[in-house]
Amino acid sequence: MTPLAMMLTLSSVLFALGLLAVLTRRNAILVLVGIELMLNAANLNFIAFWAFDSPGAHNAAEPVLSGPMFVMFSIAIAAAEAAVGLAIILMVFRHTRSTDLNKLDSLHG
Amino acid sequence: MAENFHLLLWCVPLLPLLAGGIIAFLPDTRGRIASKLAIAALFVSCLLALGALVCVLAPGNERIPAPLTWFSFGDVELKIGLLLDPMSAAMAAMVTFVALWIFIYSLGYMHDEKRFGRFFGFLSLFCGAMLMVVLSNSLLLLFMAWELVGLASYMLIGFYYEKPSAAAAAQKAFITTRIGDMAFFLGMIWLYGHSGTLLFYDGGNGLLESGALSSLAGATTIGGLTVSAAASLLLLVGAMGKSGQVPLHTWLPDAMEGPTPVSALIHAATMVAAGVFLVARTHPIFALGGDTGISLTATAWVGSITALYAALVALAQTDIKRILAYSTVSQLGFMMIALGTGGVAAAMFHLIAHAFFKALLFLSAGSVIHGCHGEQDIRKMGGLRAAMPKTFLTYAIGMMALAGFPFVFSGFWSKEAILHSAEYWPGGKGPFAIAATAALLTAFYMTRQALLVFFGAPRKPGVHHPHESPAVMLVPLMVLAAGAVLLSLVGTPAWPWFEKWIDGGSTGVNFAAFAKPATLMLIGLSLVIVTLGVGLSYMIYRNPPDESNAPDPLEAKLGGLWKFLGTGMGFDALYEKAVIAPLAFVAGGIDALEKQVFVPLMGLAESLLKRCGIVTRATDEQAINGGFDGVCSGLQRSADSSSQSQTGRPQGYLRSIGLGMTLLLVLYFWLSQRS
Amino acid sequence: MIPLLILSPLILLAAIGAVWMARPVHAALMLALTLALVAVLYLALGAEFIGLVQFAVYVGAVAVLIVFSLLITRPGDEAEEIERRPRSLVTGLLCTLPVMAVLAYTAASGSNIKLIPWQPKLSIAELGEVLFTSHAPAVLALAVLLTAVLIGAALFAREPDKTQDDSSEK
Repeated sequence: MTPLAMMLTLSSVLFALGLLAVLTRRNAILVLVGIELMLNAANLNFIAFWAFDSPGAHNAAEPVLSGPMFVMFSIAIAAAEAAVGLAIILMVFRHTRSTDLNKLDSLHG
Repeated sequence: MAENFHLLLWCVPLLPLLAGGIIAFLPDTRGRIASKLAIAALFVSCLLALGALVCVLAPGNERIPAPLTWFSFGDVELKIGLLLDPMSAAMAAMVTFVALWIFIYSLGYMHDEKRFGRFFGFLSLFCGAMLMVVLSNSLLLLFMAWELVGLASYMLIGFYYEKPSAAAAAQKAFITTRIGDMAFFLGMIWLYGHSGTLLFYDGGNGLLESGALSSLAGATTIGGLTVSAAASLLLLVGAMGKSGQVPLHTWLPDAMEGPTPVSALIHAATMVAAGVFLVARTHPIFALGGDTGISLTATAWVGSITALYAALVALAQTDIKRILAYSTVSQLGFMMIALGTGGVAAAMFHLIAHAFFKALLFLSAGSVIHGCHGEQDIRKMGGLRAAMPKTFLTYAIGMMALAGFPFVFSGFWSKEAILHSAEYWPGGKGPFAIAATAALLTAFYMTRQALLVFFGAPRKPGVHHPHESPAVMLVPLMVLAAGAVLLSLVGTPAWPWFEKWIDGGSTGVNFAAFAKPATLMLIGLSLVIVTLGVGLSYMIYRNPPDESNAPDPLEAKLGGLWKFLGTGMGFDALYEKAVIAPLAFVAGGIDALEKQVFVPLMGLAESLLKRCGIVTRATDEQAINGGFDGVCSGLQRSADSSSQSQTGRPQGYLRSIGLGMTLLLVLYFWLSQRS
Repeated sequence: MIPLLILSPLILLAAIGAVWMARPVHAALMLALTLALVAVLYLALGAEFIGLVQFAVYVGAVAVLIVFSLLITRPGDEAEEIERRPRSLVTGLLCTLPVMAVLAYTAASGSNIKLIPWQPKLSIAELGEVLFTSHAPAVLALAVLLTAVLIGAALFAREPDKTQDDSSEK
């Protein structure tokens, strides 16, 4: 198994674990934890492709930076997402005194 | 051998830090274990520091760096490291030794404290950080440890955080020193940008070695200032914040809100010494502008103003710890004078001697407070000599050392060295004259304090049944008292071993040095100053009033000036007016702007929208709804039946999405495999 | 390769902890550990700067934010705090396992493309230059987004102002 394949496998398992957390945890904040895991899996892929296979890097006159660049933007946006997500959860908590997703069924038809 | 030696050197600061870290995880009920752990760690690190001191004493071992590459960014390497040279070795030995006895003293003093273990954890952190400051070979590492010292001091000054005054004092200390830290940080970045290194000594490439120094001195910046002068002025501001120099001194007297061992630690061995040490360590940069260059002149005058100011204010204080606090500020001013006038070794000697006798004085004051059931007002004491003879004895030694009693006390010789350095400064006689005056005032107010606390008859209303402190508190006092006396052996003009050692030379005993006219004159001057200070004070306070709320004898002579001095010359009030009030004004203005302008504007917009709403609503209800309703009710009936699947649980929906996505993925996968 | 071999199982173990731990705070701490380990992996792969950013932003800010939110939104009774093992585990696994299988199979089989090994070096100077020249619009957009998020989050999380509410209801 090449290192690239290993990294990709690692990231796919990480992604699946994040998805599992999103689908099964009942605490809204822990759902956010799952989302962070999934985002990290994606970042891992960027770094993997940058580190092990950068087309055009082999005759490197130009530095190839798109991988790290993507990750930097992704991290910044992930931080923003976490902040807004947690703020929304806090607001929900203030209304219902709970962060249990099973109790939040106001979408009930 | 070298590797092991580096490891041992790293252990000196890391052991107390580690102990602090472990204690943080111990429950509060395990206070005894925590205190034992802290003392054991400090004891080992004290032994190691003394070993390092012996090691530096050996010829050829004057400067041992222990480098470490912290991490590398691409091809930029960030190096930190420790440095063992006479200055750092002497400081490390002093810090560990004095702090060790303060720790032991705390066993007795903090005996009834609920958060006993936590206290020792903070103390350990504080000491470890300070050791890192003195041993660091890199301005960056020094800065990090410097901030750790600030953090630990914040937690210790605010240790009684239930008390509002203690919490406020902690914040004040933190914020005031932060102003200085900001300047320090800027200076550090400037130095790094210019020389590309923050290591002090690095085999010829360091910041304090000739290559970097000459490039710093050569480059000029705004207003014709050299980079070295500008950066060193910024470093000076940093040191002023930490070492309580005017005008950033106001946090220091308030830091008395912490427990007394903390005051002793902050004021003697650790925190305030850090600023003076910073200037001493980076003195080669300060000295680039010459003896009368702007940075050294600024240092000397900041020191002079502080020394005189604090000595004057100390005259009119009534709290036993506040007098000592202002005297610390004043003595730090002395050290700055010495640094500014080129006497690095004199400053270091005074720093170390001061650490001993100031720790002794604070711990004795703590013993007095302990014996007087928490009373700190010296007007209510009096005649305590009989009740606590041992405390009196140690206190007297500390007081005489601070006042500069001749010949056998370290304070006499260290002050003499500072006066010597100030007298021969080519930049003028101002600092010398001020230092002499401040020394006189020091003798005066220390005598006043001793007379009011220990002599005369107990005053009324006063303290009931003062008692002597337990042995665990008295033994540290005696050890420190011995240190305050014995240290004078290595700094007399006859055998100025310490100063020569710091400067990197060696010397023999030469009693003829006493006979030099210049030295004789200075010794004579010191004698006159001390005699005058003590004599004046004795004349005024020989018969203090018996009533504890009677006015001070000096108050009658000084009148309004007394009140002015008592409030620290109004610095706090000035800051209140000049800094806090304008900020509050601006905040109030913005608040008013929001209330007066934005809220009405929003209200206007709201009412306009409401008007529009009324119009559209009318058309809505009349024209559209009627026809629509019929359709809707039909839809609703059909929707009711299908809404059974809507559980309203977000994760149910998510699961459906997940299943759908999986199906799509499988489909895509299948298709891509087929092609 | 060797750091990858060592770190991968650790990252997976920590991530499983983050998904599986019963107490919310433990799960959040495991998340912090996962993120820190990923940062170490970045460091080992030569992307030092990204690793440090990951440390600062994820471990330093996001994970801490999550822990604090958990502390704020503590339910009153202890029993509710300890979450039972998820009941919907079967459907959860049903959804996630195929995803994982497909992704992992693609990753493992698709990587037979010819790779030319090279040792990438991330230079901060280059990164900074690219960031503020060719990527400047993106940085600006991100700045606007972050400002909006800052204001939005502050508005959401603010304690509702009683008087304000009254006036709006009238």
